[in-house]
Amino acid sequence: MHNDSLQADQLLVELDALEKLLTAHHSRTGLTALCRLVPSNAHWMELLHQHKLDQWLALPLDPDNFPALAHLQTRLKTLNFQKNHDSLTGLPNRRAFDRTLALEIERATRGKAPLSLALIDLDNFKSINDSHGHPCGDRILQKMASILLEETRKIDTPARIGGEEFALLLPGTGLLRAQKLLERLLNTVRRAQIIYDSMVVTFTCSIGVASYRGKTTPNSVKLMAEADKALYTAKKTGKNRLEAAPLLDLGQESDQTLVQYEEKRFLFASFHSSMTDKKHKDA
Amino acid sequence: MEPNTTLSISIVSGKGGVGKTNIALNLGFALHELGHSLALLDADLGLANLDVLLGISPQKNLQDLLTGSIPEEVLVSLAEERFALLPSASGVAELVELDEDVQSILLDKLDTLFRQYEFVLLDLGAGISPTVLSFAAMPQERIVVITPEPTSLTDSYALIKVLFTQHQIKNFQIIVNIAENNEEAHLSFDRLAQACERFLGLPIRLLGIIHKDPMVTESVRQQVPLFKFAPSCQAINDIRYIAQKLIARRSKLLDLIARTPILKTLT
Repeated sequence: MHNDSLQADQLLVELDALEKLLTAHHSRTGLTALCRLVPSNAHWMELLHQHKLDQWLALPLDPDNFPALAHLQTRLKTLNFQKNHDSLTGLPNRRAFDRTLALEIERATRGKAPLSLALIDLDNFKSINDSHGHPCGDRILQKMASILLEETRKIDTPARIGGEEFALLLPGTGLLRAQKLLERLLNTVRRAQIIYDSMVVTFTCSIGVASYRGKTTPNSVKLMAEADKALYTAKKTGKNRLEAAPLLDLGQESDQTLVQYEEKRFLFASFHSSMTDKKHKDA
Repeated sequence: MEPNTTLSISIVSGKGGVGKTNIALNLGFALHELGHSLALLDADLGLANLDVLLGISPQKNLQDLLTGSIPEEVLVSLAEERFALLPSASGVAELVELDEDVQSILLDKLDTLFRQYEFVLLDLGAGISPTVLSFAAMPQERIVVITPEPTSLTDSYALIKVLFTQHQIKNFQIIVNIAENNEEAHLSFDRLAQACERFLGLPIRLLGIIHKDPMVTESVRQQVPLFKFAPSCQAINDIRYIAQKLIARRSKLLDLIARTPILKTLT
């Protein structure tokens, strides 16, 4: 707190100095230019010029001259990161995940592309915490996060959405491919271990996955609910396993185009009768 | 660009072995005999029936058109320049299932090529595969070939239903092939027409009847087109009559054809 108020004082001094500097640039017309603080680097000036951004008044932010401003900029960056990420694991948090989910649903709808969502829950996490302590539990959460990052593709979004619950969004991926990827993930988790208090600690997780084939518009609530239901089944049936929800848009296209029984009977039946009539006549 | 004067027709069937390829080829000869120019596109998925019927083995095909060959190298002339065959060999399925950008490049090339002819006939494979459905939906008109068998009726009905519900296609003309007599042919057509009317609310038209003719089998065996093998047999006379109806239809529809692309891009 004390540190912060000190910096606030310093910030005022620096802002005052900055204003003088800007006024010097625009002594006649007053201060109308937009101002952008950039790291003190000649290359930046060149870049702004190249991209015809001269109307931006770029001020070199030399941390030696403006330490409080530099601190403010770093702080803004950190805050922005913290808003969207889980502080323990560094993974996107629930808020960021929901936003990505909405975006990917829009993309899947537009591109008629498949989409899979996996919910991943660590098994017996409470008893790990109870027997080894919370710091050990934290280490396992971090390990799980790094496995999720390593075992997935760049287009996938892993997130920590609850205490020991993670989510993994797999865009452009149908059920079959999602299952392959998740089985591999399960295996990696089974082999993973952390050393805590000179003890080897291992852990497992259960996964529920739900998929759209791209035949209907995905619904985020339904997708979440189905993945959650599958996760529940995975837990109930022994844990340390993957359970897949039934495809959410199976049989979406068939009804309208297939030849129904009634139509077939119509085509066949009277054909039959007309043929027998004919035979009758011939006889 | 000049207004379009080419009438494009795909020849389809729900069931294989109903004589599609024979009809396409001999209809081509009949149209040519009646003084009309036409191109015949073999889109039968590399079953290469057309070249077998003709006893030829083309060097290039539809796919070469995409990779830069000029149309003159790909087209096989069947009667001077006024009756040309565009062979497809294998690979057509891949072409149609290509992304819309490549499909549009191909359709542009085909459009330039087909503009020189009064008719374009597309000989398609049987069934309701995505490739067949795409090719069936692209041209301005469709001829569905049926035979007087219940399975032919249900399969043709399935094809019409899918094209109607998935691609909103409404104009179907029916040829009843291998008919023992007119009565049997009419019974088959009426049954199909009633089913389309009753379940889809879709009227279809009878284009013609081709009677069962032993000459057809013989000409296939000899690898000589029926039109050359037995130019005045019953089946060829039936086909001539159908050709005349198509010519009349093209004249009647010229205004509409001018406003319709030869092959429509599917969306």
